[in-house]
Amino acid sequence: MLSMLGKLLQGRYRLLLAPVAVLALVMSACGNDDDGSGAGDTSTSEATAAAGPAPTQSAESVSLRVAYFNGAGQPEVDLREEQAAAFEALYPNVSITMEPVADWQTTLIPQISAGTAPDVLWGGTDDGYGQFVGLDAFLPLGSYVEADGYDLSAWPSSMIQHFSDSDGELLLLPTSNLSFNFLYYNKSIFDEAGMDYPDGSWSIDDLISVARELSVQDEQWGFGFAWDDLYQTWMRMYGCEFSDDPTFATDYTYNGPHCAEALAELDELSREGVINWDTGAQWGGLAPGDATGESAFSAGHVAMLLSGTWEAPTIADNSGGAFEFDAAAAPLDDGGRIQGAASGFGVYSGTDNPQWAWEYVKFIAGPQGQEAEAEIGIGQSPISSILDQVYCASDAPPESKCEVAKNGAANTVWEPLNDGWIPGFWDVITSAVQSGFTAGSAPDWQALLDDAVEDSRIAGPLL
Amino acid sequence: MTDGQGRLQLRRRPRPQPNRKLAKREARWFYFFIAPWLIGFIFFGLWPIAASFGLAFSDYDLGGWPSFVGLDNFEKMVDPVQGPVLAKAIRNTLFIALTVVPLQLALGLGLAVLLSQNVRGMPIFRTAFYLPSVVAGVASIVVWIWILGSDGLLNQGLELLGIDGPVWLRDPATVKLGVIIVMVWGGTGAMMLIFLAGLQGLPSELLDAAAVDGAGPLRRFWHVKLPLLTPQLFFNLVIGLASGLGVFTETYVISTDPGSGAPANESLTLVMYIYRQLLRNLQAGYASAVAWVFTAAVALLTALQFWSSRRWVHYEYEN
Repeated sequence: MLSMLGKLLQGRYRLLLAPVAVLALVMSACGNDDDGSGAGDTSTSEATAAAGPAPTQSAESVSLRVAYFNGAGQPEVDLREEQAAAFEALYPNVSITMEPVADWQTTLIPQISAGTAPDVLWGGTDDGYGQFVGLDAFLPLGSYVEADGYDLSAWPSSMIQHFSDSDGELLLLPTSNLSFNFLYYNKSIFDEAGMDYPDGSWSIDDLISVARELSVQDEQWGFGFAWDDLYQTWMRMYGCEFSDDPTFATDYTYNGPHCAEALAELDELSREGVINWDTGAQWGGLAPGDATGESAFSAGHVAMLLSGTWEAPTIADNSGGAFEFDAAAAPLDDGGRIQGAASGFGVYSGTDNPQWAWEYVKFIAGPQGQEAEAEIGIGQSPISSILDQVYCASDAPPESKCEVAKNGAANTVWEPLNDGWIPGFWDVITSAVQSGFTAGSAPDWQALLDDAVEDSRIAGPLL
Repeated sequence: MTDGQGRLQLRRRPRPQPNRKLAKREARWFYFFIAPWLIGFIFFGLWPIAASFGLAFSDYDLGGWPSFVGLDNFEKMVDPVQGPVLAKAIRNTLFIALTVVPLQLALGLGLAVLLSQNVRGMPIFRTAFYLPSVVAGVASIVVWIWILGSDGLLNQGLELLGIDGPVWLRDPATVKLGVIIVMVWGGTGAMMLIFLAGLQGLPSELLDAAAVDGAGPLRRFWHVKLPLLTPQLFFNLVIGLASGLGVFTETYVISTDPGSGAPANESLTLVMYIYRQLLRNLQAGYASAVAWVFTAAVALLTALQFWSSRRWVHYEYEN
């Protein structure tokens, strides 16, 4: 064998083999240069967790990449950079690179597939968390929690369960339980109209009638969504259930009671030009400059905006104090719920530095990290003491954030964790609903949803 | 020189012996210089192409290993759910490509004729008309998003004419027209340049002869210039159609929900459909199958164009 290789190297193939050899050398130089355990070697990582030295005792220089979904703009970027700097100050041998990501799945999935994802990964229930688990992206944290004696009792058990795998091993340390029930309102618009501000006592009918009254065709919109997919929260507010089980669904049910009714009401408002959103563009849904969501609200064109707590610092920045705003809990019908998103940080299963990645996860997702988020008002901590003592006590806008957040926490429902949820639910309902809202005349919403559910069952079987 | 019988014998010159050492050295350098491209092509071109062919017959979610599923992915293209969406993506793609390419060809040719005139300051005009082709795609699309906005430049212009313009890029009825406008603006310059080069290379004796025979400018264009420009027309057609069918950047950037095909899948093109299946739905096998069918269709279309070119493309010095 060796003599054959020698012949090859001496012969005319030498020239062809040379570039391959160079490439191999380059690849090996770029590759894993540790003890050869290899990326993705979970068992080795777990063993390190149990038996390896505590990171504080090691002076070996370590580089960590941390990816997070940036939903709150610059305030969140600043916070994450500050957290990284604080960790580096605590552990001078560690250097952190923060990677804010806007298009979460499209950016991270190829990296996970290629084994090059960042060491610490954010995960969110409405950003393909189920898919990430399906790809084994997160390192089970059980052995690390156990080795450190890390106390998880402060977190709601339902949340720890939601972020654990089928063996009960924790995958993410939950940082936030965001509810999309913040009904921001522009006080100036309400004052000018001589109307009472929204409060927790409103019904959906109250919201609709006030939104109509505060709308001026193509000039002012009574109501708006921070992003168009919030039509789903609207459906939930009426009591529509999307699936038969909120955690691991076995069937789609978004053609059930109250679902078509919610969409029909929304369609009517959209066609009247009461709602500021892209999907109603042809009915006058766009504010000047084609603005929607936060930018239209911050510019003073929208009376009420549905969003979450993270939107407040951005509204405060972008409105520049041109008007005062506050938030109230979005109204719910009997049986109504609020769409929400729980998120947290975990360790990438392919990291070369699982122990340090876990240290960093604890640092940013533990109580101390959550306090920092709560202080600037971009996260709703799942730990009730932080919600009460930091989030509720902070000066961060909006004033009524505490009661809204608590109302949200009590009524939030997350997306199921099924692998097939994105092709089955998102792909189908999005185009179906958009075609209904943009059709020349109002569709039969019940028939439309019945057809869509049938399509969902084929496109993303849940069993 | 004569042979023994007095016949003239031409002395054969010895053939120059190739310098084998030099040839070897040249070959070595040849491989050395093409190696970066070759390695890049093998690893980033050939290997992914071959892998995607294998994946087309597999179930693969980008994690773990693919499992062989035979023709399932191809059957899925016509199932009751994916079939209509894929058909819509195909319709959208064909509508865009078959509208954009003729417009680009006509405008490119027209501009080339205008820019081949002997007028002062012509290099400035040529640069100006070619400029859109070299501006980064995303940057120019962002400018177009503003121009085609509900109160953008185009609608303000239409308003002066008493026309209430649509919300071009957000209305299902007009989103494809918006994409077409963006593509025509960005792609016409390159076609114009090819036509311009062709026009400048036309043999003057033919044009002079036609003029002497009494042919006016229009007749000279139609019966002399245009037939002589058919090789450039053919080149532009082949390249334009292939890139038009592969439209992705424009439809991706104009959408408020990139990659979704919004509104209501009206901006969903074939390549975006493949992208969606691959990176959002993690159906790499199905995405590969669609990609291969698409590739085969484009190859067939190109072959048809080459076959038909024998009837309508005229080369100046052909027999």
